[in-house]
Order: sequence, then C-alpha cells, then structure tokens
Amino acid sequence: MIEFDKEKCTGCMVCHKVCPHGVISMVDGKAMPVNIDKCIECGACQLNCEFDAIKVTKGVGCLFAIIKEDILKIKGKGCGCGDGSG
Amino acid sequence: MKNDSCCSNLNPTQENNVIKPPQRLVIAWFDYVKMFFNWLFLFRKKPYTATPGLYFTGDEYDKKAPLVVTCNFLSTVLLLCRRLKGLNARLLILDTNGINVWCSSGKGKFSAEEILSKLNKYDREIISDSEEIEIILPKLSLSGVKLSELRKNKIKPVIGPVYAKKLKHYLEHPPYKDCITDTVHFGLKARAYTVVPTAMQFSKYAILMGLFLLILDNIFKAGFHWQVIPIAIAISIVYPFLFPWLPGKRFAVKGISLAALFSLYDVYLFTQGSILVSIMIFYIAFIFGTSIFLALSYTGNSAVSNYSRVKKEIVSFLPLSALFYIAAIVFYLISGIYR
Repeated sequence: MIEFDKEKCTGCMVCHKVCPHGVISMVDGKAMPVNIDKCIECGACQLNCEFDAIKVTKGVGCLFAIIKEDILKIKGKGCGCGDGSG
Repeated sequence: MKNDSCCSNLNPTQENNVIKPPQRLVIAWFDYVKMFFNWLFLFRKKPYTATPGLYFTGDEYDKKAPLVVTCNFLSTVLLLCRRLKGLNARLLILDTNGINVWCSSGKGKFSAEEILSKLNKYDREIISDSEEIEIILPKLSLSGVKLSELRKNKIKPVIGPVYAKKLKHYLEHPPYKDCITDTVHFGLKARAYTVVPTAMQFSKYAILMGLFLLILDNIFKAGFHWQVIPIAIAISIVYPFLFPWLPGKRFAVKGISLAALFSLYDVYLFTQGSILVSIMIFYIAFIFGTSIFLALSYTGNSAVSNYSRVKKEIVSFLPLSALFYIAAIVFYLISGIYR
C-alpha cells in the first residue's frame, strides 16, 4: 500500500526522482502515483520524503520472507538470500 | 593469480578492520569461477564477496575521478570492473554482507550511515575541507539511502543509472545529473538470468517431493512416479520464460495457467489409454500444486513483486497449493488399489 498526503507534499520531486519503477509523477505540482500497478513498495519514496507526505507498507515481496517474518514471526531473518541477515 | 585483485584478497571478514590505501581493481580468473557459482546459487545465504574499501580503475588513483558507490556482492563488483575498463573511476565498496545493491538497501545494509562510515575511513584520500564530495549512487540503492542524510554531511549524492551497462557512458559525460527516467525492466534477459538459479533453488523441493513419493511407495506399494521430479524442475524453468505471457496478473494465477498447459499432455496420455484415471488426476493435482508453489516462490526472484500483493496471494493461494498436494496423495493411494 502506498498513500500520498497532498497537504504535506511540497512538490520537491524527490520521490519522483528516486522511484525505480517510474510510479510517481507530478500532477499540478503534487506527487501522484500514475503507475500504481508497477509499485513494488521498496520504500525509496517514503525514506527520501522530507515532509512525511508518503506512507508505504514496506516489506520484502517474497514468499519465504513473508512466511518467516509475518507467519512464523521470525524477525531479522529476511528472505534467506544473502547471508540471512535480515 | 594476481594478489592485487580486490576480489582475490583473503578472507574479507579479516579485512574489515584494516584500512588499506586505495587499491587498483583487477579481476583474477578464479573470480569468474566464483561469479559463476554466485549465479548458480543466486539465492543461497553465503555468496562470494569482495572486500569492502576504496578501489580505482585506470592506471593510478585520481582524486578527481568520479566516485561510484556499490555493494560487496562479488558479481556486482566484477561487472562494474568490466564495464569501467579504460576509464578512471573510483569505487567505494560498502560492507553489505555480500548482498546485491537492491536487496541490501531494502535490508538496511546499503545506507547513508554505511556510506558515511566508509567515507570517514578514507578521509585523507577522499575528503577535503574546500570541496563538496560528489558520489554516484546506483538508483536501486535509494530504498536504503536517505539522500538528505548525506547532504547534511557535505556529500553531494547523484542518482546514477539502474544498470551497470549504462555507467561508463554516464561517467564519460560530466557534469553528472540524476538519472530520473531510468527504471527497472524485467525483460526476457533479466528473466533468463533467473532461470538456472530458480531451477537450482526449486530442485531441492522437487527431490524432496520425489523422496516423499518413494517413501509412500515403500509403504503402500502404489508405484514410484519419479516423473514428478523432472516435471517440477520443468515448471521452474518454463515459468520465468513465459512469465509476462501467462494469463493473469498475479503470480499464482500465472502458475495456474502454466499448470493447465502442463496438464494437457497428461490428459492426452489418458485419452490414449496410457494411464489410469486416478493416475491422471494424481499428476494434474501435483502439477497444479507445484506450479502454484513455484509461482509464489518466484515472487522473491523477480523484480516486480510487491509486498502487499504477495501477502494477499499467499493467503489465497498457498492453502490451494496444499489442497492440490493432498488431492495428489489421495489419488496416488487410490491408484495403488487399482494397480
């Protein structure tokens, strides 16, 4: 899930610049999702927004990570790829 | 064997606390062997790594050369080394536990803190009071790197290209601008790259399924259908290739579509009188269960999965996959009665 707060958005464009899937565009000087189906919820926009205008349900879109972290509640194990360091 | 290769250095964990002067980036032949194994077992826990630190390409260290930041996944470093051939560039390799740029930034390893920590270690080689330090970040690192954090510390971050193949051309044309329109593509080449690692990853499940059937055969004497192993592996190979063309938006629905395709041959064998109806249903149930499971597990191997949607898919389709496996076992046992 990705949510934009129009009131807080100042139109600085940083979210538009950092998005790796071209999901965000500027409409009337405000950030808006235009390709929401392409959003992978990586959280780059939320992390780099200085005005707290974006909320992303950030997580690893991977079966094994979700089973470990959300179902089995094993925190900090990540998806298992790359050292398992979460 | 060249000792001056960053990637040929001894145990990287021993190097972490030792600050070496900038080293020339050189590839040794066995690094390619390691790169091959990194690819073959792409989703394993302990990939081959490069020693974190400051490196350079070209003849000698040039303080004015562009400074590119990257992870210490060995394959990424080798790729950059190849791409930057003939160019004077500096490479700051972070300690990301051997994880690639995108995954490590998602896991918080590729971060502004890690960049600042590494830059501070090389302050004499990089930092000067008069100038702002310009660093080029891979675009995929921005889910972990807070740009404002770097700016606060007199660092000028520039958003570089997504792919290494564009880097040389980009570096040859200063002043560097943010790569705003550069985006991720999960095309045939990217999917083809995941085919062998996916098949390797899924093979262990396929073998476990085969072993389980062998155990059932020993108990119930219903026959050992070894074909389940190659079928499962074949599904794991075909799915990435056909991914965009399989009907459905969701990973699991695409898995169901592929299962329907695979089941056609099974139905054909039945119509030819080659197999019993219980065996046909056993195989169909197995194919559907396996294809859905593979599709769900491919979410982590792709560049287009989304946490919220994958979570919903797991809730809806993982139980369905389990039900198909239960049905497969039931019809396997029934087939034993009519054997």
